[in-house]
Amino acid sequence: MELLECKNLCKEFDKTPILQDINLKIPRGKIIGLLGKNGAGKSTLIKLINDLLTPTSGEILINGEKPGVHSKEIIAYLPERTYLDKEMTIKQVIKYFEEFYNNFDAGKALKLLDDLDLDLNKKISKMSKGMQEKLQLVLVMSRNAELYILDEPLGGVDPATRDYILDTILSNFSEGASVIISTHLISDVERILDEIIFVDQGKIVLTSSADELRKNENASIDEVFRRYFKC
Amino acid sequence: MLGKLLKYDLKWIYKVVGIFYILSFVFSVIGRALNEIENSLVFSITAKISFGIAISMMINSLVNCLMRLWSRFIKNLYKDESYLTHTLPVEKKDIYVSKVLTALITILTTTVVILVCLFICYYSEANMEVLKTVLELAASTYNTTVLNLLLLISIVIFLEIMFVLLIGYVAIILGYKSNQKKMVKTLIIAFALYMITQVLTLGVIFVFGLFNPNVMNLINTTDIVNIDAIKSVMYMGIGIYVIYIIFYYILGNLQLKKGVNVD
Amino acid sequence: MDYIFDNERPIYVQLVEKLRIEIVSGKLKNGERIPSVRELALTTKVNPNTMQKALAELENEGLIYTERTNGKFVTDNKELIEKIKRKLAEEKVNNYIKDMKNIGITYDQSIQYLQELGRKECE
Repeated sequence: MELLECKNLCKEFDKTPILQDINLKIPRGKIIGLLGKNGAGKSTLIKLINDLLTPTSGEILINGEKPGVHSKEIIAYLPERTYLDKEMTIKQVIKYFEEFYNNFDAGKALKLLDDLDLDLNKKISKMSKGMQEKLQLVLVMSRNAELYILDEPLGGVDPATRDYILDTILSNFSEGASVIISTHLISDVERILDEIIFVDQGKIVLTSSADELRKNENASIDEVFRRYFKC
Repeated sequence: MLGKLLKYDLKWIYKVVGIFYILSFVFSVIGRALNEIENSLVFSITAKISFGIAISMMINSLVNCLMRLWSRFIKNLYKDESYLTHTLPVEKKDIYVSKVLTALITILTTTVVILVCLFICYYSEANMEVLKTVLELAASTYNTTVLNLLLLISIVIFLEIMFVLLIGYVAIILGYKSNQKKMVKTLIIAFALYMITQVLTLGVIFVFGLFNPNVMNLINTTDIVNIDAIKSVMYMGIGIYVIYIIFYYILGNLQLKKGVNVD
Repeated sequence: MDYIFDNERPIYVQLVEKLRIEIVSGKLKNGERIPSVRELALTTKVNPNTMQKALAELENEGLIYTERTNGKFVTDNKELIEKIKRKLAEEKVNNYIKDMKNIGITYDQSIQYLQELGRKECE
């Protein structure tokens, strides 16, 4: 059974199609790049998988089941925005995650936070936006999930932070799990990708293994992407 | 999981409403203590001011409680925090039930706190006598005891507040289904639901009146009201509110189960 | 091991090249156990699947071998290592001579330059 499968998935907003007829299979143990320009429909697809949007038609199956309690247990999702109750302290947030997620490893989270030199009694609202994002990344990567879905984890961060984020992802995803990284900053992530999915105007326009694509096109994925989407 | 959700929901409401509870209590006590000191103009004025503050704090507890319940509902289910709420491994139903239970509990405690503070502020033999005579008059006309009457009034008020609150929840769920002007739509739906339900209530009373001439007289004539009729209407009111509350609870649950569309 | 990769070629091919050099140069000692795929992937900051593929390629070449339960080891086949070293050297020398030729330096002069300037680099 596929880890994740989308069948004829469509999503419309007020009769405007955002995603059209998405058919997709995500295998286990792969790092997958969901690549496309801003507004191509990457986030919509991710939100559908995470039950934050309801499909107009079509189906999403995670381990053969529709999004629900089971899928939420095995998917660790990092959204683009900060989703924590800002009145909580870091310590309280860790306890919250521990209470709700069976697969959350608090020890791992504390260790990762230690490297960031954060005061655990600090309120989220008192932290900088960048720190809040790092905290969320740590929380998500501290879950022993089967599928990690990271929506634009590198958007608008400096190169040093970019390295930190990629390192944290690579060193912490649980063995045998898959990772979906959505981004438009391809050159930064392409060396860690197994598979790539190009999304454009609400459709999947290309899926390929990363190395295959490099070999066939004799260029970096970034380059292929630029060629493809040249206006 | 429901227990954990409930714990965090309650904590969030009480974090602020609790402060109003304490302030209501403290100012009630201060006012009462100053009032007990005899024959000092300064003290009696300060006592009056304290009572004033205490009353406003009591009103604040109730208003704040309702506002926080609605605001948490929107924040948790439809704003940034919804990205966490909806990805927790819990049923949507549990999330909803937790919100409704939180409303029940917090509104109940707020009612109790207000009653206790009022008691602290104004309890005295003389006042009690006045209250008693007034209530006894009413009680005798209602053919019931003072305690039952107080209970009846409290229940009706409590149900009314719960009913209004649930209309808010359902209106939010329906309003936030659309993709634009969610808040405006929520307000319109809330108003419409409230009006429809109240008209329906009148309709039910009218139908009831067809079989009960006393009740019909309430609607038809300007004669002095018949106590029996009021009593029947009041009991009926409780029944109707309970039915409405259950109806809106189920409607909200069903609508939420269909899924959400967060920004 | 801080590797810099060129995004235009498959990453695993570049990994194979780099690891091959580490082995023939002796940085990864002959006969020694090499870290797990995951560890290696972490230190080189690549995807574990890519590292897996690279190690499989090296195993094909015979530069590393798997012991059923103990993990992967660097070969102690000196002959093979010498052979590969020679092949790598050949490539480098060819490139050197070609480059020198391109800037108008003959073979004999190239040798002279190598003795004169190359020594400094080696020291």
